[in-house]
Formats: sequence, C-alpha cells, structure tokens
Amino acid sequence: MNGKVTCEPRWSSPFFMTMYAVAALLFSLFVLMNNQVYLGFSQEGSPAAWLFQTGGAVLIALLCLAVASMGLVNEGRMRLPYLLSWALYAPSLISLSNIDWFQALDVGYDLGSVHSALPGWVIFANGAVILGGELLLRCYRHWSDLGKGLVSEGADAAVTGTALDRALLHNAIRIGLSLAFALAVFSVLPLLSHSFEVLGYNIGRGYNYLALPIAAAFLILMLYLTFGLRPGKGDDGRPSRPL
Amino acid sequence: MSMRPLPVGLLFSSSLLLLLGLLAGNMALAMLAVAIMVYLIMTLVEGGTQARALPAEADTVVGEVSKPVTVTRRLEASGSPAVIVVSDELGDRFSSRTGKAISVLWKGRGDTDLKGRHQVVPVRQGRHKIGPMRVKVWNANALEEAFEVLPGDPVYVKTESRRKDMRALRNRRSVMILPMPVGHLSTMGAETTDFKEIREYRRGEGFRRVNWKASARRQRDGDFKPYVNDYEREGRRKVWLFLDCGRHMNVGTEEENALEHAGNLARTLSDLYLAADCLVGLVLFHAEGMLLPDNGRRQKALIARTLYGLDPGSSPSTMIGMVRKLKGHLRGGSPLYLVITSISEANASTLSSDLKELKGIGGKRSKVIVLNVRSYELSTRDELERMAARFMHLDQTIEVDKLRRDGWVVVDWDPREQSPAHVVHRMSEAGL
Repeated sequence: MNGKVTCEPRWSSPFFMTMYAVAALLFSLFVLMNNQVYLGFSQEGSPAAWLFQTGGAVLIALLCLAVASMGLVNEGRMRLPYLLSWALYAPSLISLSNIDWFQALDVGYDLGSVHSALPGWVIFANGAVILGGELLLRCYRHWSDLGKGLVSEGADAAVTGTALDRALLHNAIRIGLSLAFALAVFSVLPLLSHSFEVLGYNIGRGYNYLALPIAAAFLILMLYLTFGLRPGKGDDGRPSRPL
Repeated sequence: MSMRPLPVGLLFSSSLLLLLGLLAGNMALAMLAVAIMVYLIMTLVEGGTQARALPAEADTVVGEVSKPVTVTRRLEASGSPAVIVVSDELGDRFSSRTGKAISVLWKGRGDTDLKGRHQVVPVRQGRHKIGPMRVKVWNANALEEAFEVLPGDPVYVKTESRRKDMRALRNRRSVMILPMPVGHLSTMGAETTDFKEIREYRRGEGFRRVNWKASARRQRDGDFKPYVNDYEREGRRKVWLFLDCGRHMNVGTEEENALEHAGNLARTLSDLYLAADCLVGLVLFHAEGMLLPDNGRRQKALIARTLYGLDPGSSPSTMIGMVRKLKGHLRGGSPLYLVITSISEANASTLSSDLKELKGIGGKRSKVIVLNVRSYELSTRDELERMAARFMHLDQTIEVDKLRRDGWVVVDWDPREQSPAHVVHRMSEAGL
C-alpha cells in the first residue's frame, strides 16, 4: 500500500522543472548574445575576442547546461539556473531603462553600452519566463515537500503525485495568465502612448514611463494591507487568526 | 509539516522590482512586479476552501485477517481548489509502517463530496478501531498555511478468522478416520435428560418432542417451522483443546504469525469435533480464556469468541498451572487432548513433563496429540530465508524427536504450505 512505485511520466517531476530552467537559461543566453556587451567582447581587438571566435558561445551554452543539470542531481540547487539567467539577462534589462544612472554617476559607461538589438517585448518576455520559472519553482518546492512528507507518513506515492500534479498545474496556469497579462500590457502601452501623442494629449510627456510604476506602487500597498489584515482559517475552515 | 507562507516573500520581491523600476525608469521591471501582483490578486479573488468531515456510510467494515480491506472516508468541500489530506490513526492491529492510513485528494472547483479510500490490512481477529478521521486542507494557491477541520468519527474493521470449512474438504476420508476419544460410539446414542438446545423439527420425529411455546414465539417473527427440544445423547466423549498463546507464538510477520494460525487451527478442529457430536473444551495458556467441554451451536460460538483477538503473553498462566487448576474437569471419560504449540528447545522439556501430568490425570485410555506449528517458516520472505528457516527447524526437529521417543504423538504443521486438512490427515495417519 505504501510507497508504490510508479513509472508514469509526471510533468511536475524534477526533470521537467529542470528542462524549464534550461529553456529559460538558453533564452537568456540568446538575449545576451544580441546585447552590445556580448557583441563588444566578440569584436576584433577585444581581449576575449579569440574565445568568442573559437566557439566560445557553445562553451558558454554547455556551461549553462551543466549548471542547469545540477537541478536533476540535487533539487536544492534548482535555483542556480535562474540566478545565472538573471545575471545573463541583466544587461538587456538595463538597456530598457529611461534614467541613465551610469551617466548620472559618471562611471564611464552609458546606456548605449548595454544596448540590445532585440525589440523590447522580447527582452521583457525573457524576464517573464525567468520570473515564471522562479514562481513555479517555489510552488514546486511547496508541493514537493508536502508530497515527500505525506509519502513518508504512509500515503500512496502514485495517488499523492497525481493530486500534487493537479495543484502544480493549477499554479502554472495562474502564473502563465499573470505573465501573459503583464506581457500584453507591456506590448500595448507604447502603442497607447503613441496614440495619445498622435491625438494631441501630451500630458506628462517624457515622464509617462513613471505612470504605471506609480500606479503599481499604490496597488502593492493595497496588497500589503489586504494580506496583512486577512484572517486565517480555524479548525472548521472558518476564519480565526491573522496570517 | 509547517509550510512557509508565500505572500510575504512574493510581496517583498514585487516591491523590490517595483522600486528598481521606479529608480531606473524601467517599465519592464515595473511590469514584472505587476505580474506578481496580478498573481496575488488572482489568489485573493479565488478565496479560501472549506471542508467538513461527513459520517461514514457504515461504521463497521467486515474483512479477513491478512487481507486488504478498503475503508471509505467521506467529506464535503467547497470554495477554491485544494489538496485535502484525509488520515486515520491505525492501532497495532493493522499492518502499517507508520501507524497511519493516508489518502491525498484533489478538490477541483465548486462544491463537491470527496471520498478517501484507505486500504488497510488487519493482522488480528477482532473489532479494531480506525480513526478518528483527521482532515487537513492545503489551498491550491500554495500561499496559505494548511488548516485542519473538526475530526470525523472513527470506523471499525471487524475481522473473521480464515477458518477452513471442513465440510468442504475434498479428502473426506481424513475426516472419516479422524482420531476420536476412546469412548466415542455414535451420534445416535440413547438420549439423556440433559437439555442440549432447541432446533428445527426433522421429518419423522414424534410430536411429543415439539416445543410448542418456542414454535409459537418464532411464528411472530414470520418463522412457521416447528421447533423441538434436543437432549444430550450417551456415548459422546470429551475433546480438550490446549492452545499455547505465549510470546514465542508471536513469531512471523505483522500479517502472518504462528498464533493466528494456531487459533485458526483450534477453531477448525473444534468445529470438526463439535460436528461429530463431541463435547469440546478449550484451554488457553499464557492468555486469558477457558471453556469447559460442551457441544452445540452455543459452544461453537463461545469457542469462536474466545479465540477472537488473541493477545500473546497477556497472562502468566502456564500449561501445567491450567492442568492443575482444571484437574477435576480433566479427569475421567478417557478424553482426547490436543495441545497446539510451537516446540522449541526452551519449552520442550517443560512440555514433556506437562504432557506426562496431563496423561496421568486423563487416565490410561486418554489420548494426547501435540500439534506443532512450524513458526520459523512464517518469518521468511525469500528462498534464502526459507533455507535459513529449515536450518533453524533442525533444532526444533531434535526436540520433536525427543518427544516422540518419549511416546508422544507429535504432528508437525507448516501453516504456510499446509492447510488444516493436512493436520487432520496427519493425525489420522498417526495411528490413533
């Protein structure tokens, strides 16, 4: 009864989670390869040009895969590929900034040195994929820890796996919807802004990129208040204590 | 199992991304923060889950020892999707690694009735409690702490022994030549005035035997058959069953042990001798329980009840102690004594002297048969262990041979390989 072994493929298995991390990592690598930082290193005369010209990109890709594969060996290291992805993604993300802190601090760089050849929505999509992976990983760990605990207490491994698979699928759908919404808004906003300009509404021109973050700041404040004041569940499932 | 609530971490991550987005005037960072917020808002809109344990369809489930029994637990759930864990505490009467039966259920959208099915394996006869049912709910959003609802009522598993129905034996010859007490003559001996029981009327019986009051009483329940008084007959003889319930009989796995098999054998033999119209008595040693010889359905039920849920080593009583205590009852009538035990080096010499005293009390015409349950085989799982058990059994064989040399009839029984019918056959072969 206990600990029944199942050979059914489970999409929430470490293998699929690792494959997602690898995909996110390769996407970040692709975005980096279209960034001025990478292109600058691979140009003639650069100290590392010989490495990039002799299949360096392949070596980096293999290194990334090796790091990602650690997740298969040790679930505790599944976050490593995401950290690496954020690191590869950072230059392209900075290129989307409207305030040039390099210039303001006079460090000898400007936003032009991290310019990306890719359109903004592709760069944002990369961020969404990494963030989605991180959120999914948190949910995966939550259910994985619960599943391991239950199986060690005597629950049937196959039945537990099926129930937790559905829970993780539920999380994945919500994460996907949230990111799709954000991507849609991010893609539509410049068009809306341009349309307003065409129509002659030029209120706050030059600072309209601040409008959404400020609105989001209010939203986050509301969320803090909502989650902070929300009561928990009692013995009978009714609210009894704050979280 | 405590879970770290996620909203704090997510809200912090969202705030950090937003702050960086504001500082750098970076719309992408701000939108990533918004994505997290949308995710949190979705969970808020979805709301919580409510669950309630429902009473079981039947408070007692009937099963068999060592065979899986399915216990169904019901609950009602509403609200947002969740993972619901239904668990029941199992006592030591069930085979379980953790002492728990757990079912993990997925609750989708809407109001629903859920059923958790536990497969439990009872290892002892009796009525055993499962529960109370505990229900723990994990909201599918993975953001909230789990909570427990009020526990549900316990259920009971009632188990019967795996008694062999001797009427279904293929080799009826074994039953025909079953060793009997010396004085056994016939089931058709002359009737005495000792009342036995009320039974159904059989064709050809005299009307004077009909118990009219009892027949009229049963008519009220829709039973229109006539009933007659039955009386004890002459020529019936006594069979005493001695059952060893010591801790050494607890050898075997959780699901299968020597005591369970010995109990089943005792019940099978008692049924067989009762069917042959003998007076059957039962004496347990190293456990509580004793029945003076009697016959009829009532005695059959009493024996079954005494053998129900045997607890090994629950009493300090020994075989010799019980023999001396029942000296007056054991004496006379040239009875047949059947001693069911597992012979080992530790108890062989004591057993020999106990049997000598028993035989002395029973008289020259009494018979004693020792039924030796080969317990080592019950602990084995593979061929290698079976080989080791055979070696260990060699020690047992030496002791059995000693007893045989002293003139005692010892019948070996491997309960895993041989049925109780085999014991009957071997008993008849023993030349009694």
